[in-house]
Amino acid sequence: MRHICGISGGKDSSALSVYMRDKMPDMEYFFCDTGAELPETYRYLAKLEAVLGKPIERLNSDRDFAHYFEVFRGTLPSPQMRWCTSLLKIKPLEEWIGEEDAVSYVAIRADESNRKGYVSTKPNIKTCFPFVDDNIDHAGVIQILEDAGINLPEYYRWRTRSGCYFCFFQRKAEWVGLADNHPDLFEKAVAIEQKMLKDVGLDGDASFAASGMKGRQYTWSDGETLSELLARRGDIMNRHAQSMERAKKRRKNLPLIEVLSDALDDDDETTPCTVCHL
Amino acid sequence: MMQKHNPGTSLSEIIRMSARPHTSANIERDFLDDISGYIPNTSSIEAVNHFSAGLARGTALSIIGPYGSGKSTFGLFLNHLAAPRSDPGWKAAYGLLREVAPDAAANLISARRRAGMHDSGMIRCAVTARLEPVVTTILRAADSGATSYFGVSYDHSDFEEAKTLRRCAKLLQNGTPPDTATVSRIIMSMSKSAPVLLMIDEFGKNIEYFTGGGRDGDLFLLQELAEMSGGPRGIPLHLVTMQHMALGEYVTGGSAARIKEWAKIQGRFVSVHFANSLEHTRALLSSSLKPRSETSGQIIKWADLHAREAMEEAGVSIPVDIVASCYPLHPLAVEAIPELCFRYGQNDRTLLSFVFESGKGTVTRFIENERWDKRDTLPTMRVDHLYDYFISGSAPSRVGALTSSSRLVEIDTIIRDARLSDEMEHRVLKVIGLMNLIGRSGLLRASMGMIRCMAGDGAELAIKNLESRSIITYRHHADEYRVWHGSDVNIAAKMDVWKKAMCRIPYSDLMMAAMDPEPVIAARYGIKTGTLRIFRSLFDMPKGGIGPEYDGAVIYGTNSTTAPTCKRPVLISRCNDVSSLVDAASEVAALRRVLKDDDVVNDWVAKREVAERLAVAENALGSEFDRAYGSGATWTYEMNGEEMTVRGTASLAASEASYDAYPLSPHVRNEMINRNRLTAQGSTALNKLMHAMIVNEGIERLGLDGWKPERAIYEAIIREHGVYGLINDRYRFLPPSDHLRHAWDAALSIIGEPRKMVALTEIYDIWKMPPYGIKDGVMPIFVLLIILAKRSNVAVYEHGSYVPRINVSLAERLVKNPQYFSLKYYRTTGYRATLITKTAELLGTNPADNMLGIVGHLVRTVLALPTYTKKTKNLSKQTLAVRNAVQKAIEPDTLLFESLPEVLGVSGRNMDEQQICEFAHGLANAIWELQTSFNSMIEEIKLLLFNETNTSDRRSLAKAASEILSDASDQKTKVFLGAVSAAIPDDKAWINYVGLTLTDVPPADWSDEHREMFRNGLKEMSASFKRLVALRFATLSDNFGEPSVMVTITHPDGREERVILPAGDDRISELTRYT
Repeated sequence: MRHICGISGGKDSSALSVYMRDKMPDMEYFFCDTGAELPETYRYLAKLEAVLGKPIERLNSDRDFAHYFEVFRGTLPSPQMRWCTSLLKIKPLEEWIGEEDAVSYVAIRADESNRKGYVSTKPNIKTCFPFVDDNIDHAGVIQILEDAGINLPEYYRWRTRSGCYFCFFQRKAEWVGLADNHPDLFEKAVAIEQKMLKDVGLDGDASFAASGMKGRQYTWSDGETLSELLARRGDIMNRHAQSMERAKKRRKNLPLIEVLSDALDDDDETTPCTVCHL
Repeated sequence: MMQKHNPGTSLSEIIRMSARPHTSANIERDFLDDISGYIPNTSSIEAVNHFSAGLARGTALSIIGPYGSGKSTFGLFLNHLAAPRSDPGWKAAYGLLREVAPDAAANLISARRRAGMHDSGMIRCAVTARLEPVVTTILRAADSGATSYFGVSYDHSDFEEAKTLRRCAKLLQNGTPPDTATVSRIIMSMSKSAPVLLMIDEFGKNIEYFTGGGRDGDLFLLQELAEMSGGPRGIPLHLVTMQHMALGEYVTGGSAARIKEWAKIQGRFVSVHFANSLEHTRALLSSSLKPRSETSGQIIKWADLHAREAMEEAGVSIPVDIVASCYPLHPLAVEAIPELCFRYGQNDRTLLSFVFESGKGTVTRFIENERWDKRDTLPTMRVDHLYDYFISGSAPSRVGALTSSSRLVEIDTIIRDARLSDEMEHRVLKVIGLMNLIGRSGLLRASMGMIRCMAGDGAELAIKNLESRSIITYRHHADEYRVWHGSDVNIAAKMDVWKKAMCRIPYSDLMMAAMDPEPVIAARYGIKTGTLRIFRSLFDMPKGGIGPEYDGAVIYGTNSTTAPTCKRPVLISRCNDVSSLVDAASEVAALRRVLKDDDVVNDWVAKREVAERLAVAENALGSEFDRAYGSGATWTYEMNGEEMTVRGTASLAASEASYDAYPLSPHVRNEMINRNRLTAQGSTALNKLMHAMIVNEGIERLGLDGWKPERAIYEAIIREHGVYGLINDRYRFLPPSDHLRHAWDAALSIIGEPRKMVALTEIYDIWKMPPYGIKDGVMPIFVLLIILAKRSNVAVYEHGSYVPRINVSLAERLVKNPQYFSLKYYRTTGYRATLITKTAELLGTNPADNMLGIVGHLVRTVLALPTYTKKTKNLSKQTLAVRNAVQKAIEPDTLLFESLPEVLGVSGRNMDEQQICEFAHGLANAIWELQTSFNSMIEEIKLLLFNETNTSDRRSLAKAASEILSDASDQKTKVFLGAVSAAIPDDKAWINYVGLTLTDVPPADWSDEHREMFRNGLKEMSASFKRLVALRFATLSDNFGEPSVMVTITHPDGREERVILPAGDDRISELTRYT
């Protein structure tokens, strides 16, 4: 029986991996690498590996987002066609697990037991929820990370979720955050929106504008291109500030991270995919 | 059915038929024919009035009417009206006109007098146009007019241009058309002798010639002549044209410029429309049917009865005398005749045949056959009789009646299929059928009253019976019975417009619109070679070429088709006579357009009719096409500058051309892969095979067991061509030795050029073309074969960057986007070969490796180093330089033969054995240093850790840390102690964690600064550590209540334990002796 624990790059799954380190020495940790994660995520994973004292298996090392983007000749994922989730997360995971019996440890906390994570439909995979069983809540998660010496991933300052830097579930304020914190990645996201991979080799950029989605204009963020979104930065951030205020008033004495999360939920209603963000 | 015996008087004894009036079908031929019996109708009287009104100054008249509407006969009539007063033709025509329209006749006489031509008449130039320039037509008219007026030699003092006319007429006979200015001059000159009547029948042909691309200048002559004849100072020229359509309709579909041009000319003409009218029909019937005077009383009685009945039953009011004048025709039958003549016949021509001919259903036959017993009412020719003539009888061929032909067939079929034995039911059905065919929603609809009136007593019961058997239906909204679901869409008119438009498009476009034939498969070639060659079917070479997906083209050409320049084979068959093919294609193309017409789309009956006609027309076109380009066709194609000829089907010719054009094509007997567009299953199989080629090299059959599609492709390509086999007991990819070698060598010869990076698409382009003709589906496999078999020499570049390792994902991208891949061939000879062997030996890589193998190893080694080693400067100068050179390298050969020798201090154009040895050792040392650098650093910080914490090993440190962990209050210290005491089995991993706690970065990712940070942090942390240990000791001492001593015992196996003893314990002094 294999014991596996998926790490998304977010706080909960990271905390679970630390929590399970001594309890389940044979645990296999994995991370579905899209090749397009934030640098903060990669740094955090390196720290986590140090804490766990063993490598976190990177799935898809050969077939990342850029690979599929090229194979699909510029067809981009979207909420309607979420090939990123199926090809970069679920498929490699199920291939990696194979047919062997396995227990998958999922980082749903005691205070969010109504939340759903990726639960495999494969009969050989059983799921267990140690935080729920051991009554570990948000504060417990933070404590685990602090004790391990890694705290929260740095991106929590401006973004509440891990995942690709161009994730289409990002809220508008988070896009502004990306532009501020990683202008280079923002620029790459703008290029991908135009079906172009930037600086892929010595030849420079590779454009799939002619083949991708039959020339249709795609926008990562609903209703506007990233350039248009950034031009509205003032509006977006004002609205975001107001949301922050409301969230603070609504729930007092909360850590900033919770306020940010609440405020961003206020900004829009999109539900991200739990495979990437749990 | 048995003939009913009727002993009465034959109707022919009661009614005398007058002689059939003369009609003309060709004004030119019937120029001087007698016109007795002609009955001028309202349209002809209107036209005569226009003619009279313009007689003094010139007229331009356009007579428009369908086939058989009496245009030509009117022309003849007008021709006689323009004759000298002494001419018998004039007298006869004038007499006929005066009889029908005395006012018009009087007007004409005065006008002739005013124009001064009453005695001498006009120069009557009457001509029937052909598909020719109007200038030619007019010249022919002038010639005929001058001959008739001046005599054969045109001798007349006033006719100055007589000679010119003679010369032009002669030239025209030899095929040289005159110019417009000369003809204009001739006409003007003629008009000086007498007014000229220039009458052109079938003028539509001139216009068709003009709109179809005839000489532009042509119509200027007409405009010029029309302008000359108008106005107060106009010359006495009277232009009369006769055509089927309004002038404007002829130019539909022509160029905008021509339409504009034509509009100017059209404006000069007054139009008179000829159509069958009820009035005209009645006039013709009454003048043709002459009853004996003694029966007039009976006829009036008969007429009175029917007029009343028509009024009461059908609400149609017809004066009794008019009803009587048309006896024996039922008044409502007369009402139907004009529409029937128009829709199902040739107008006047049909009307005259209906009255005067003796075929089934005609008036003459009726009169001859019917008998009358004086005790009975007079026999009546009813609507069902009309049915017999117009629908199932002998009406003249229905030119222009295609609109209705299928309705007619449909109704007629229903009536025949009904097989009614009841005579009344049969009659009623015919009445309804006929009414439906006329399709008038006004008075003449098949209402109950109308049927009763037309069919007579017993109609009501018959209707009921027919309705109960669903032979007829009653439409409440229209108050009428129907035998079919009719359509009012005028398909013929639409077809006419579109067929005309089709005539104007080029042959190839027309054929493409009508057929778009399937591509031709070189079947015989395919069976023999396993490769499906597809030839595009064309009628002309398109501008963009034949398209990359085809192996060649087949052109169904005409005599004027020229051979295009093309790298792939192009077969041409030139058909001598394509006229019937063009006709059939025009029909199909026009029907297709009509099928898309909104009216047709919204009318299912019309749609069905057009669809049926289309199916028939497509069949006909298919037959014509086979006749032109079928098995009897001759095909030519060019091969190496020589013209080749094949006789037979296009497929056979395509096979022959394929053998000639693709002699070096590798045989691949697998349809799933040997094609340009793969199916989803084909793509999956391709990916799986390429995956096996990369991952399972060395295994027999690439590990492909079973008979899945990828195995079949493996067999068809890899095994068939022997490119994978045992070499020194190991399976390897090999260069081919069979006919695949040609394509293989072609690719290698391009990439073999020194230092040239060749785009994969460049190779594909060569492979696609003759003489190889390799299919898109196969090409990625061939390329991967080259890459794998020649891996020591062929480097792969993706997006311009060297790829040190060929993996499965790369192959997937290569299949999808070959445009982003390039290949480069490297040869190593001379000292370089020795350098490679020596380096491979010292690096411990595969001795068979070539330059690319070694560079690949170096690049992969550096890529796999921990980030620390990639960044640190804490390396020997040479190692640092080697690492940087590999990291910055772009070209493999530059790295191995230039950059690395240079940084290792042994560069030179030619290296001797000593230098090579130095180089190889230097490189191997540097690589070793790189590979061990991180471990050395870890060892170093581990020692530092033990030193600073005064511990000898991990176990004692961890034990101490776990003991004081709970005493620590500072979070940072807690984290450090937690890490130190963590149960991480691997020492290196453990120190990595410890390193992280002091620098916030794991040592694997450290820079040199982090290393320094660790030293400083450790100093601080070890102080805390020591303090906590001391504190712990102090606390324990206190527990003894007296001074204590902590003794650390280290066992031979490294285990340590700490013991607290009272300071006065004897054992302490014993122990201190050994310190």
